[in-house]
Amino acid sequence: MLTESQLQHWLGRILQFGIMLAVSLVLVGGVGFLWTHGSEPLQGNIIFSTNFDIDVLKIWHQHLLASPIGWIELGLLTLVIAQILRVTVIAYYYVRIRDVWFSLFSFFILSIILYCLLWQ
Amino acid sequence: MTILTFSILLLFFSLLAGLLGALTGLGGGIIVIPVLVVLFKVDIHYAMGASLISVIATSSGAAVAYMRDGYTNIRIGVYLEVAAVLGALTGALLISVMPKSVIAILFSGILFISSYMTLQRHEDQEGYSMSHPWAKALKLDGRYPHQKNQIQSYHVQRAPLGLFLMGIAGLLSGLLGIGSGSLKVLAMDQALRLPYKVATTTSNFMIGITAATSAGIYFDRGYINPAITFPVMIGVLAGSFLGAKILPRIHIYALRVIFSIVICLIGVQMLYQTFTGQI
Repeated sequence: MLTESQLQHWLGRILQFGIMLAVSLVLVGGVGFLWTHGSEPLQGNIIFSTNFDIDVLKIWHQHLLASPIGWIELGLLTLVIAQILRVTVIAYYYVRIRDVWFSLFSFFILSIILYCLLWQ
Repeated sequence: MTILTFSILLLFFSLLAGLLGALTGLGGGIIVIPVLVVLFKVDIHYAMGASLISVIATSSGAAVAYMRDGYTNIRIGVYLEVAAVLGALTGALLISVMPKSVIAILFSGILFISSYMTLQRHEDQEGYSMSHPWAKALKLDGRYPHQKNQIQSYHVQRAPLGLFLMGIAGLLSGLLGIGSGSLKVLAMDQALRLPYKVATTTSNFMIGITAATSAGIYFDRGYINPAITFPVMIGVLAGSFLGAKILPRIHIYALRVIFSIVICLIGVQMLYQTFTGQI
């Protein structure tokens, strides 16, 4: 059975791994973006003229197409996914210790985050 | 100006914002938004998107260390997060119906309040021997390392008020793209009467989850511009790490006074730009 200090340890590990992965992806994408667009003038450029309404499900495809912006988006999404994983582990912990109220609280939080990310 | 120069300048100013945020305890988000809007003329929605992502990154980075120290009360965090995520969802949905000028005015107000609260901060908390009935039923009371080899227990007060204030903090986080750390700490400090260290670390534990809720809607609405967000996120993150490193070695109160004045001036400048139609 997972204890609360073990839970804290795992939550810390998830965040640590999540942030390292996210920063790596964002850096790769950022360097790639500056390599291809860095010398272009700012006015009227991709930064301000492109509509970035990001469809979460499309990010993976953009990444596969090796678009630097896709890498950055994947990194940003990784940050959010780390938070979802964190709440999932918390929910799992409360279910395992049969804490009804906190299981409900955790699942409620998880469902709101997933709703915002996937169904909005 | 080329995109490379713009990105380097964003990185530099975001690093300063992250450093300032860590030293004042306000977090990088609340500082980086006016910097982007006032100095770089970035659309306020893009500035909020970049800030929100930076908030998730910095709070996650800090939470890794706090989790190890044993100050964070996960039960209180989960309990309060129920209201915070609802607030964040509402706040993020409100952005599309709220004029940018109203958001900018609201943001300036938050800057003034945060600046005041930075100066008012106190670290001592009186002890209570009884808990609120909700706190008792939900087992919210806890213990934390107080002094060398000493464990101090605390009893949670006014749990419903804490939940209400956290809903407001979540609403502001979603509406303005900030972590609302100051308000979260205030709610735990003044309503729940938690020890200051427990309040700050538990608030930090919650910030990433609240911000992740709004981030889903920000992604969908196009408020997160990857080209602007990446230097801001890296800069704020690096600045906050640097701030955490030098924090124990500097005289904090004098810095808080100077930074509070700077934050007020940024707020005044933002108000000026709003009323002259530049935002």
